[in-house]
Amino acid sequence: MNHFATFELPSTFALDVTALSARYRELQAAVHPDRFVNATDADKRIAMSRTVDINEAYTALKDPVRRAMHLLLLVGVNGLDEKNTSMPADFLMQQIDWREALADARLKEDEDRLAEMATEIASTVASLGHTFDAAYRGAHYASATTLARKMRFMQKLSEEVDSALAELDA
Amino acid sequence: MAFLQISEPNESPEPHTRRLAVGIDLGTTNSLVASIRNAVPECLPDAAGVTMLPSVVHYGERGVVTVGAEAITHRSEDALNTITSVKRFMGRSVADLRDEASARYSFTTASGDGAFTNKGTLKINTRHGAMSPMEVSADILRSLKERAEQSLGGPLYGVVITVPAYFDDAQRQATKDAAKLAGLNVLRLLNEPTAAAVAYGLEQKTEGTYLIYDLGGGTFDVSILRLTRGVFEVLATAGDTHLGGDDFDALLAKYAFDTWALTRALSPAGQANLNAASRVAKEALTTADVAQIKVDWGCGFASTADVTREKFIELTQPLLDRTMSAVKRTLRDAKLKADAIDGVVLVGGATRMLQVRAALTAHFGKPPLDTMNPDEVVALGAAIQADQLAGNAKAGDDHLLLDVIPLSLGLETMGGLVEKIIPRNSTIPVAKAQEFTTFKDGQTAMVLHVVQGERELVSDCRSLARFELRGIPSMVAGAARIRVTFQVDADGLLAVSAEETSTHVRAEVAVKPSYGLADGEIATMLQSAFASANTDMQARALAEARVDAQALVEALTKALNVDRMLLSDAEHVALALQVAHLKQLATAGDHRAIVRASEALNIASTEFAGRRMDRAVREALTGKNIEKMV
Repeated sequence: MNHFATFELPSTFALDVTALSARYRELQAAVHPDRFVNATDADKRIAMSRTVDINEAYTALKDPVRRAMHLLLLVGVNGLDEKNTSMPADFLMQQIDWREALADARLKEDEDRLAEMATEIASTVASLGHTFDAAYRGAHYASATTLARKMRFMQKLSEEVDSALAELDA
Repeated sequence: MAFLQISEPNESPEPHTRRLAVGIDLGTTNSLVASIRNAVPECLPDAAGVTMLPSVVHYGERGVVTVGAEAITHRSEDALNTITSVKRFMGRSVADLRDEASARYSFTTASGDGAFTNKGTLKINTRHGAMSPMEVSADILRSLKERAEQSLGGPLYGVVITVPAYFDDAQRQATKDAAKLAGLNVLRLLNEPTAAAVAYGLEQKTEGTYLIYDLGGGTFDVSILRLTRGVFEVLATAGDTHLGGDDFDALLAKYAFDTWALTRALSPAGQANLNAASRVAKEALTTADVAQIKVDWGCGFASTADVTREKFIELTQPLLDRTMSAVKRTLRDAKLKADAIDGVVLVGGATRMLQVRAALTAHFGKPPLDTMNPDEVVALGAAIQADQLAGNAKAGDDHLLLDVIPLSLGLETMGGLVEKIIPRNSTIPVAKAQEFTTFKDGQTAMVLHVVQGERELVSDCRSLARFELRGIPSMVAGAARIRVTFQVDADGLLAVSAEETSTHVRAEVAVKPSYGLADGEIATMLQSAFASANTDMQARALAEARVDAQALVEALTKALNVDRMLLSDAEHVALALQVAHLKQLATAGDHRAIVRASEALNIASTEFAGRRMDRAVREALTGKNIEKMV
């Protein structure tokens, strides 16, 4: 299932997220179960299942990492395949550095450093995204897959930074 | 009315078809009912002109039940039979109770709920027997229902009931069950902060990103919503269902208790008096620098303690900190910084405390918005939503709510770990499926344990339901493919089903977790509540079947007229015949036949419904109905 088609938007990584959100709201306005409270059971069931599909498509596209993975699926590549996890050595070394920095900031309860890391990670993900876009458009799917995986690594790291920040607030 | 909205967006319902719909804020300390009157939402007052109904129920002698202010008068002399803050017990077991609550009443555990092996929910021992929190809540809802029907002059078509955004599945289900017991047709369960946003956003005609800080009597919620052209999209929500104004009172009460150097625990009645006195002092401190906690113990003996605002703020700082860390978490979940929030909206009477306003002003760099009464805003928003869901809103006035689930839903896997299936803050309705497999050769059954929460370990999450999938074909370990589907509907309620998919042998179980009340139990309670003979129940079943059938016939007749072009001649004739058949059956007296024919017609019209929905989707994408959302 092509989630871009759900919104009649082109299958591209450089998606206009504002347009996506607008389409999403228009579709929801047409099919949401709240529009069918007094309708027949058949209508209610269909409204429910269409809304579920639209929510799923929106979730898959609004997040850049999921969007990249979905684009790969459209060309037959499962970027999340656990049998193929090899990553370039330099990237893995970088990951180790990131994680050490995270552990250190966590230990020192250094909120500023954590916030800084969050910003750095976000900009790394953005630049990986640009490179992914070019690779995908050039049909270089092997390198696109590696880039998408890198984005996913960075996203996981970002989640850990967030949870470290959350611990400081608790 | 939904058909009309799709096919003819500018048509509004005829005046005579206006349905009586109300919004109910079922609060921990106070409850309200509101409705749209003369195009404006307003809270409906009781005979004495008071809108707030204290959420207090007294179970008196000779079967007398009193609710509200009158019930409070029994709190001192009959504390064990005067139930306050019952909302804190909704969907909870005795094991869930914290010490403060367990001291107040005598509890028992409800007997098992049939098909499930859930631990039973709690019941409160009263002179009227062991009452479930649902039954107590139903008594409060009944009182509001009567008030609304007298005020509006007719039976209610439907209600929207608000729940804390952070309520889990058990608490939501319990609330819906309570409404069923009270004989109410629940159009939707609505999250309290979302309801407040609706009331606020529609009144102020505003756009932007808002944070709703909702500190009620017993629960705390924070939600961030984005308002765009009539769409209210919840971006993230967090909270604590055991944190509210009551807890601030309790700390003041403890302070007084310590000041007086009392040596033994108070009686339930004494504690209730002390809590009430503390609450009065807390409210006084919003304007005064010093207040007095004064308790009259009876027999001419009284105690007083002075408390300064400074002391009060110091005592309750940990509670305020808990709310602020939830605020920060919500911002992080929504991936927003504090300066991206256009306004902070205050909801709940406890937000009148000055330290709450000060903390929010400091965090967001601007004072919170408080142009609407924080006690009423949730009920008003629920009334607006009820009116729209009932089909009364004029085209162009309608809006759409996109809400989320507050807590992740998952399954227990090996080693007591949780596999999350639906993450928190997912927009509802949502469905997700995941495959699992067997871990022993020849395994033919599998226990699925459904949990809700953010922690990694099952023991730290809330257990929602346990069910068994049987009839898995015997295979080697790891060969079976068990597909488990979680589905959360627009009320935020979960249904789980499981299916073995690797062979053509199907084994499927559908579970709707139920807490304390099985459907049969509800029926029994309804029966006794109506104190009706069997024939009355038959008459009721017939009446209900007829009403449903008529609604179906009307809806389909309209749809067949309007969307004739979506059907082939043969399809049109087939459906029209079935509609005519149902119409005829509805005039006869066999309710089972009516129900069967209605179900058959619903199934037969599914394809037609799908085509109409596709057309609506196409229209939405080509922008035909954009004007609806402005």
